[in-house]
Amino acid sequence: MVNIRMATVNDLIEMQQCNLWCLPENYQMKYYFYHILSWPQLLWVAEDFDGRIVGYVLAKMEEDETKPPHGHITSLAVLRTHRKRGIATALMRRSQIEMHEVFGAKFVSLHVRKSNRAAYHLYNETLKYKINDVERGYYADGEDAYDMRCTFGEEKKESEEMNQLEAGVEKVAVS
Amino acid sequence: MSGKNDNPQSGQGRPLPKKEADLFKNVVKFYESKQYKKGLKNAETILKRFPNHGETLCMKGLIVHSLGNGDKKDDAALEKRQEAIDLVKKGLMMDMRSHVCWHVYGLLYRSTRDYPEAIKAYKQALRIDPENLQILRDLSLLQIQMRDLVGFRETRLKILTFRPNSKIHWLSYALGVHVCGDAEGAVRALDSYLDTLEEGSKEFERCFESSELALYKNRVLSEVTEEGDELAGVKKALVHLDEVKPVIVDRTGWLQAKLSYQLQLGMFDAAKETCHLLFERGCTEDHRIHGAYMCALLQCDRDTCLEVQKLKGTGTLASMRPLSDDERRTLIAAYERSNDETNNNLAASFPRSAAVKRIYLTLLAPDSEKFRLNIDSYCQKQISKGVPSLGSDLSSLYLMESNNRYVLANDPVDVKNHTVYKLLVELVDSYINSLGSKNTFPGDTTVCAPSTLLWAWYLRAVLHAHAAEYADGITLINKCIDHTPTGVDFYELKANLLEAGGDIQQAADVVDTGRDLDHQDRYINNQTTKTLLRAGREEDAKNRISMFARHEGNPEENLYDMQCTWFELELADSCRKKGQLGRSLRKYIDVIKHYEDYHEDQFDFHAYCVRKVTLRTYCEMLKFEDNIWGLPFYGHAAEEVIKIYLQIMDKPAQDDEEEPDYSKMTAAERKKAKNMARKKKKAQEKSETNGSAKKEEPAKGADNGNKKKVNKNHQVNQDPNGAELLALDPAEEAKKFAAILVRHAPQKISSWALQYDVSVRRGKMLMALQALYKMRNINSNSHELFARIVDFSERLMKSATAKDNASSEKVIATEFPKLMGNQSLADFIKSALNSIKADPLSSLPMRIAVSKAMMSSLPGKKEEALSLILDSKLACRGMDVESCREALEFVGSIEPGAKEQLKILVGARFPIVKDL
Repeated sequence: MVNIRMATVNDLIEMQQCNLWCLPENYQMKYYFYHILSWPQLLWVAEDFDGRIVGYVLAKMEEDETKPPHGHITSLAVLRTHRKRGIATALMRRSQIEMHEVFGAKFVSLHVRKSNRAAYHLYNETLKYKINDVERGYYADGEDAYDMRCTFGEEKKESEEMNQLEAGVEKVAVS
Repeated sequence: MSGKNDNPQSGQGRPLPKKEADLFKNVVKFYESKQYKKGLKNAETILKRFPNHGETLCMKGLIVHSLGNGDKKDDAALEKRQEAIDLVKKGLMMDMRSHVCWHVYGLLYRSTRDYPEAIKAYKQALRIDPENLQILRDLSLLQIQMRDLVGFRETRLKILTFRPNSKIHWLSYALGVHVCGDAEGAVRALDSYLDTLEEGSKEFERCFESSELALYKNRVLSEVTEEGDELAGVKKALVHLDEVKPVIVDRTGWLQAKLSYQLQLGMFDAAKETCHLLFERGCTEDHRIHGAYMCALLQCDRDTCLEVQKLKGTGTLASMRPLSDDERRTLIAAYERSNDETNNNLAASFPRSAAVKRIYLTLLAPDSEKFRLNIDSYCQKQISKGVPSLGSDLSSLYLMESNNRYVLANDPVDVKNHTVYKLLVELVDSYINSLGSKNTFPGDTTVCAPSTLLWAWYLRAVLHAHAAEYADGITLINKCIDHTPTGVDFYELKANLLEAGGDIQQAADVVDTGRDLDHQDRYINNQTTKTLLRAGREEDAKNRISMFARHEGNPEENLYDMQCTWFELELADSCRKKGQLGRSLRKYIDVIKHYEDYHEDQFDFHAYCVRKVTLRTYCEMLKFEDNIWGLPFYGHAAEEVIKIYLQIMDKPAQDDEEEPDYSKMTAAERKKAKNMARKKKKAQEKSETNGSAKKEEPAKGADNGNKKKVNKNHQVNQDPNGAELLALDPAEEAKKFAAILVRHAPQKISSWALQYDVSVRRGKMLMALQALYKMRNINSNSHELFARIVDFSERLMKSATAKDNASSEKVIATEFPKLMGNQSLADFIKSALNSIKADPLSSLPMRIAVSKAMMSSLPGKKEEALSLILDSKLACRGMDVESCREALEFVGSIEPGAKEQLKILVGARFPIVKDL
């Protein structure tokens, strides 16, 4: 069991270390500050029973005025020891709810390594992301990235949309 | 530069001719738009005709400085920076009465992070041009950065007075009032701003900025107190929330604020409703809200509510303090699965929430049949799924009562005696039996997947680890590995067991084998790196981590740039163990540098957050930055830095590159260090004969090691062996860091222990005494405290000539004896001895401390001192491989025969331990 909650500034240092433990794409602290001080509702963490951060999602809004408002998942990680508990899904769904509600995002995008089957499965199967594009040599080591997108149900009734998202959050919690 | 820079020379008595004046305007413009090359060209044109024109010289300096570009440290950049400084200084000398020159002078200081000097320069500039908005703005940024809060507020007030139409200025001023502690004044300022707006203004529309502003004002409002009514602000804030509801887009934040106010005001039914709204929004996994929900159900007082809100992790009221039977019943009714479809049953409303299910387990009495049934089915489900963290999850059920609060049992002695632990062992053993013989859980007929037995073994191994039964754990995890040699998690657990059991070398090899099974996973790669470092195998460690760290030549560069603190701390620890004090210091100081950078990072956000109106988060950031020196990683680095300097003070002649100081190490460390030195020497010889060919795995996910281009000017390559750090005055450095720790981490006993150690060496006995008192307030039973009280007493007796003055001697004479219960040193030690004898579980570190005190201050008590440790049979608290090594070293130093006896005991307790 973990605690899933919105991140605070006090979590950033541990988020950075969690990122360094899990992923090859790393960022300086200032970039974490930038995220939380711009879009405080989009950063979420999973805490273990003792308060240790075991997973996080770092997300933002894109500032591209030519497109409808949309979010972007900068980084998502869960410690290997804490897999198989639906933590990544829970974090993603919570961030997406806020993205949609607080910032009026119409869709959310992310990049995933072509070879990362587990992540692709999570995004495609569980979270219903679709491949939008392939970016050649996106990663520093030359690997291609899938540019994936998830649209927050166009002009559906908002409440219906929320219900759907919330049902998802519950789903994550299944043990 | 200056915003209204119509004529930068006006009033200076030295105006430039029209043509040059225009050029100068361009210089400023180009600088501001970062077109440095063009700016430089224009400045040089002016200087051709007027080589001593102060403002142009300064502007040129500023531009050159910007071209010198940030943090680069190569020679060219350094040269540029020096040129810039010279230019600005010369410019200022030429025109001391120009605000431009002073402003630039200040900017230059700012860029070198010398804020106090920069503030002085800005203030000088403002004396010449008091209404210069740009300079005022720059000044205010430095003031908030330096936490000159009153200065900040005053400067923002000036700016607001000059430009009362700007939202930014109003918000900045309100913020200034707020950070000065005047919540009421801040609310007034915000209200005044809102009053300046026309009806129908965009500020009143529902959008992110107005939502943030409303919630910021709401938070400030809640901080207002009135005489006789601490909650006056909270009441107003609750009303205010409903007023601003139409503009709010952050519903979660809005509801959370509401919940907090309702609880504080004892509006429990309303609070319950709010919790439900939050749960329905998908916050069912947020334990703070569950904590609040329980408080509402049980109608807890305000202090309890606030305490629950501050819990960490999965803590709730139920894990914070023991519940009465009535309380338990009420909470169980909310969390127990039932067919009650009313709104009050969470299990019915949120049937899929993991938190609701798991919290239910915490609510049940551990000795009840219900608990047994539920934990049984919980474990079975998780084992079937193969959840590696199940054991750690369950360990949060080892709750022990202490002063009407729960603490988690973590000493193996306590864990083994815990009801929950015993039950878990019984259950898992029954699973293993049943799964092993008929592939089903006990009493069940459903055939399980073959992996189920594996995860049952895995969980049992984790339970063994909780009880410090490492060898037994390894037996089981070996079965997992034999069955599925590709299970990375198994290798990780085995390595952990080996490490805790005292065989770090094999631990490193095992986790490395696991790593080799999954080259894509950085987590297992890092575990390997960490374990290799702990095993003293630095080259191997670097080789592994460089597979993920982008770098050219030296992975430490990229790891430093990415602020990879954990690695640097492990490397530093590893160097320190080998006696490489200089290198170790350097890595610790690198970590300290990261924290200084984190602190510096806030600078750009002072203005940014006001524009974005993310003021709630901004205020949290200010607090975070104020407390940054009390955080764990910083503390780790600072504590070790102090210890190294203390070591240098005690033995000043130590040379880093020479043989390490073996005398200070434990036997095991010594052996390891000698091995290390031998290996290092061999490796050196080898690489000298073989040229450079080192066949290791190719670097993956990173640049290949082929182009070994080491950037000499990178931070990590500056003084890598710490020679400069070793040359510093150790007493001064130790004092500096100890002062930071006691100020920012005063709740940690280690901060005061080090403060003591530094103070006695500096002859500051009064400060040392204060540190002892602080330690006692934190934990009066600490062996660290005991050892220092004895040390203090011995020092007092030895030094007839006190270094402090007479009055402090007097204080010591009256205050110190209280710490020893007004006993003589001998009696103080004897009473410690007696309390150990009275409690067979007395911790090993305490036994060692008392035993040491007896050796130093109670002559003729050697046998008794030794028996204190040997008679424990190592069945006491505080038993781990490290404390055993310490005991062995101490015992060996007084009686080699007894050491052999103890070795047998340790070997029996930790069968896999190496290098005793």
